[in-house]
Amino acid sequence: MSSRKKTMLKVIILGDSGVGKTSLMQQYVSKKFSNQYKATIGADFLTKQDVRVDDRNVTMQLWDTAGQERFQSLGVAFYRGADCCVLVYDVNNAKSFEALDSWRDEFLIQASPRDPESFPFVVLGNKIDVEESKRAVSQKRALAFCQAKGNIPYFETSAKEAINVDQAFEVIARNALAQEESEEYSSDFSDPINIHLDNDRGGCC
Amino acid sequence: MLRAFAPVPVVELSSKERIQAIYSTNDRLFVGLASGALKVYEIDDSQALSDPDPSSAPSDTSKRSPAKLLTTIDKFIKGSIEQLLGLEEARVLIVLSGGYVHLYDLDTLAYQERLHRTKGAVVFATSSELEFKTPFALPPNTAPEKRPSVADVQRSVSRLVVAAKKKLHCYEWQGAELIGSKEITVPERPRSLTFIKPDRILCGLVVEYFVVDIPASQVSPIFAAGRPVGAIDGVLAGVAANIGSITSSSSASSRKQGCALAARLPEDESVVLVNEFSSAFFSSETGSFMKSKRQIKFKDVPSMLGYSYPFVLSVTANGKKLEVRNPKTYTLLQSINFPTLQHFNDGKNPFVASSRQIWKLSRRSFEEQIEELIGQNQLDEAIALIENVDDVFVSDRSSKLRELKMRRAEILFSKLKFSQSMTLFSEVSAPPERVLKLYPEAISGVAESSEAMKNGTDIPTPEETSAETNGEKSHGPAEVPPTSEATEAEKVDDEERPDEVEASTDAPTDASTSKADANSVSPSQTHDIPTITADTVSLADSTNAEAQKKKDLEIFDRFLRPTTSNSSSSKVDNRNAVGQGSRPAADTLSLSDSLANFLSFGKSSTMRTARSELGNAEYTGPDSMDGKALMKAVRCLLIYLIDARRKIARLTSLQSGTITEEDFDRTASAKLNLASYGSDLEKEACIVDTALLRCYIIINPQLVGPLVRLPNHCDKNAVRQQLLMYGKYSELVDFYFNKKLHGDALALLKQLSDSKKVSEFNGPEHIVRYLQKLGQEHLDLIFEYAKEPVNINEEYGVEIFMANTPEAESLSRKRVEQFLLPISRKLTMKYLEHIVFGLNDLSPDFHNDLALTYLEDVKTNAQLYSSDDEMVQRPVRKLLRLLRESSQYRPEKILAAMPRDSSLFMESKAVLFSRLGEHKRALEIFVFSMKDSQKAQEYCMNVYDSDVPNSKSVFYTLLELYLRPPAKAATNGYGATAPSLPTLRDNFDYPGMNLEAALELLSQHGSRLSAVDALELLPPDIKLTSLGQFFESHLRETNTTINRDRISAALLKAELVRTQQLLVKLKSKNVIISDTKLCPVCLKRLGSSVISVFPNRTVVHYGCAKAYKESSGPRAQTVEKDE
Repeated sequence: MSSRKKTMLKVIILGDSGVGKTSLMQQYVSKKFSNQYKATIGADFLTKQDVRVDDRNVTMQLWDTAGQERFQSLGVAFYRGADCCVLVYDVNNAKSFEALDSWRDEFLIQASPRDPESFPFVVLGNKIDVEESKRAVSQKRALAFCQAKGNIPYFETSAKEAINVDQAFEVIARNALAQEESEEYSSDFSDPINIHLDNDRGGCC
Repeated sequence: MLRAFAPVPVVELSSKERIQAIYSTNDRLFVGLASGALKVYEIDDSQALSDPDPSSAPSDTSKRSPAKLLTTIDKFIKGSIEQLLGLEEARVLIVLSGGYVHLYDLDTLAYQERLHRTKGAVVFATSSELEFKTPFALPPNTAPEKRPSVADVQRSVSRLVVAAKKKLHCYEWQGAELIGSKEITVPERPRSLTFIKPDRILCGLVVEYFVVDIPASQVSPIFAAGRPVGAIDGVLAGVAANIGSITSSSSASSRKQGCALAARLPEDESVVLVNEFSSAFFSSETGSFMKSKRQIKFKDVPSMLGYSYPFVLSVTANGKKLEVRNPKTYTLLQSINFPTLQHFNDGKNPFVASSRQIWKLSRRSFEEQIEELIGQNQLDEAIALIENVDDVFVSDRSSKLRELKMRRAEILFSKLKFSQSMTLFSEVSAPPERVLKLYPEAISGVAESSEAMKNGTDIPTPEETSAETNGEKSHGPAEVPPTSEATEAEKVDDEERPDEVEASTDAPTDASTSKADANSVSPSQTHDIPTITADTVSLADSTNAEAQKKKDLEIFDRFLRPTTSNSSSSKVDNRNAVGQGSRPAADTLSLSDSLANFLSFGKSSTMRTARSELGNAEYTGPDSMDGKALMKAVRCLLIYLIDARRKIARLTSLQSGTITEEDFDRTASAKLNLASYGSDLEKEACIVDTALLRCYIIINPQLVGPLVRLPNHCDKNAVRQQLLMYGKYSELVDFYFNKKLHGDALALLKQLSDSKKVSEFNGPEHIVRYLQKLGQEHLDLIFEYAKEPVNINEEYGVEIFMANTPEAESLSRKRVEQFLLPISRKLTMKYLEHIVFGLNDLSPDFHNDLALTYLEDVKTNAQLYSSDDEMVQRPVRKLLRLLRESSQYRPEKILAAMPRDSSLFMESKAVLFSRLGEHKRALEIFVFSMKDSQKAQEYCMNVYDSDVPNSKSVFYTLLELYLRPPAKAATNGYGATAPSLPTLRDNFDYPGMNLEAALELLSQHGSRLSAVDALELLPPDIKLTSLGQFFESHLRETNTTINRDRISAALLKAELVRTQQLLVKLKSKNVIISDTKLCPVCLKRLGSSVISVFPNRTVVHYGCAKAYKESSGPRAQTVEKDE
């Protein structure tokens, strides 16, 4: 596989309304932060060019989605062909953390990746700049969740103070690239699914 | 081949006459002859349209001509009429003859004038439109008052542009009035003129084009910096050769020989430019080339070009053929043979003419055309056509279009182009039933029966024989226009059906052979030439789809190659030769085979009867698909299902009002309305979700979990059946939980844990974990299923009822207690402790119950263990703690439940009596039953409160008990050491008197006793020395009181003096308000109103105080005084 080839990585950012998906993306791509809340309508994407991942130069296409149900897009399946899914919650909002499981399930259904188990997710606990007393989800709890879901990488970030944002997206890019390459590789061959099916049959009869 | 137009012969002239120009209005046909004569015909539209018979030859003059000659003016003009056009709004007929443009009245045909400046005119063009702008040219001599009045008013403007030498002469009419003219100099002599907008004209030169903006008199070449762009290369390069002596007269493309052609496509806001070899589209909006559009490839170089909604018409160079093309797909839809055509009038009523004959091209209704295309299986064309024409021409257009696209998708499916097919289905939001019909029952769930549950020993062999052959035959010769991706599939076809090969290669040759008959008078229809077939499938993600397509092809190719190249037998892997229907002799079956087996079991052994599809072509049922193809088909089905799932969810929330119409529209990128999936969204959602589940089970079982955990509409029975079949128990439980079918879930879990077949589900842990997730509303269910685990291990009860979760806390405590009570006292105790101490429940019942439970515990254990044993002492301590700490229980109740004589409850009883305020009884316990004067004293100290009458005397009570023990103490069952003699009040020597304790009490707490009362109780013979301490403490206490009182008296006296002093001081500060005293601010009498007095003794009204303060500065401090 040529490493010179320009690689485009598609990353989907999901999470409840108001957890800071757009802000994280803005912070990463344009190093900006705005205190004003503006609901995302439908979906939008930003592109980050020339991201170095080891010796590769990749372009990241970050898809920001509407957290509010009423603004969720009906349009084409932008989940499809995603290389990595970023789940964001607000560490000061327990509900947004509890919703992560649903967001993950929703993503899996919408994207239907060939191998859901190995599909890369990254969890970001955002808004850690807010005072400690308001914190509703402990790091321990978040880590336990990530552990249970197959060792999902976890970062505590602040889009406002630019804490951990670059580090998180570096891992996102790396995992997305790995996924992209494994997809390329597996797609050269026909479905490996038959095997699964056989196994499953064996289990039930 | 479509018959979009039927040529109807309308005029045939004698051999002497030669047609030079034609022009038609709505009902009139003007024919200009070389002799200078003009003929006017009336066209009977009704008859023309009612003559769709394609076999009627143009030369068939025996037929009644639909045109009636109205008049012939022999000497209409001197020279030959070279071009003829009219301006209907201006009622002007424009004639080009002898190098001049002449104007006539359109109605009377009276000569109006010769436009002198147009000397040397070679071609002219007209345009007539409504516009809102000011006229382009108001010559200076025009009356100036006209200008503002017409500005910004909608009006009809007719324009005439004449090309004469290197000049364009432009005339403009407003209504019937000629309002202006101007001249624009152009760099070269234009050979053709085409209006691309009402005020913009495209001039075709010999080798290039330029655009003239008439109002601005601006000439701009259409190539940037003279460099041709992309596709237009050919236009430039092909120097227009002399293509015969044809002179066309057309409003769209007025053409002189040897120049490039152009036709305006108003629907598209574009212009098609054509020269000898190629074509290009040019946007009239932006003035640039539309690179996205491909070229039209003309087989024969057109000599004339025009547009008649919505088709591009062109006449071949030899004039013998009129070609009709769809401007969107560029497909040649129809070609009509004529004897050499020389004239062409396009627009709404197209006419063509040879030198002697004129035909009207009567357009068949679009509905008929679409029907015809469908009949010929030209679905792509039908779709393109229907997309192109307006709603008014086709009734129910959008639903027709949708239907066509669905059919197209079905065909794509049968060609194994699943991805495209599903994308198309998604695009039109096809009903799920229809899409799923294409799939075997294992996916669609249709007619799924209990058979599916059986093992597949009696699996019918899938009839793969029919798979390819029949499947491919479903699209016969009509399906010929192959999309480029189809080549692989076609290749296969070809080898399987040699006859088809001929058919498909026939297509291009047919066209050429038909050229040979071109001389024949009757217009015959030739075969379609598949020049370019548009890919109507709009792909959401083109790169992805492209990759997918490629992959699909490869797989398909790999899969079929062994079949197709059987003869060459170069392939090793013969096992995949399913296409031949011969079961491989090899003992191992390929995966795909076994999968096909698997998928087909459960359905009836007979294949579903092939259903009639698409014009009698046979479409073999979905069951004929083999494993691998099916796998791919299923994977692609996800595209559709996921899309449908999202859309339906969206529609449902719109219907239920969760989202507003506005939000819906804001986020809907595709056209979607409530009708798309029918009225019963719930049902459709069920079909879609259930199918999705089946797909996942087959191709991606790991996604079953996420699906059933999310809100979904899967059919309960289907899910149950499928998941049980595949042993996906925990997913099924999740599904039940999500659907709130807790009873089912628990029954399943119970079954699993009982059967012990699945090790993972052994034991009650799963049930317990499930019960933990249930709240109050499922209490009965919890009780039903909790019993067993709790019986196994009481800890499960703790997990279920005492977990630190909102669910567990929501449970009705009373009912849980009632449930636990008969099961285990220990658990009940634990539960009560949990709610009383852990959750701080304050309801007396639980406190009572807990106390009683402790009591029971003590009683029971006391029978088993000695009273010193920890098993007994622990509950005793607990009880005591509860009784002391809680204030919620009812002491009477507990007291009543206590055994009278048990020594274990002494202290508890004391607490209870204390609660009841019966301190005496409590103390009696300490003094007589327990003989613990220390505790008795402690008790008194705890209770004593000098402000509460009942508690104040507690020390006295104790003393009394020491010194005057009641006789009943021996008999009342308090377990005291019995003083046996009856007591007498004046007998000082009371039996059981505890003088020692009494003296100790007096010495320690003497001050809390009234000395008089105490002394009275004491026996008279007591030694005073023993009372020394009592007196001392009493005296001290009394002295302390005296001293304290003295101090306070002194303090109060001092306070009095100070207050009196203050009074005197305040009294001295007075002002006198007499009747005549005026307020210095408002100068009114103060009278008896509220006043303010300032330190300088100024008196003003209260209301004037502010004003006074401001005027006299900050010094003035207010002292307010109410009068």
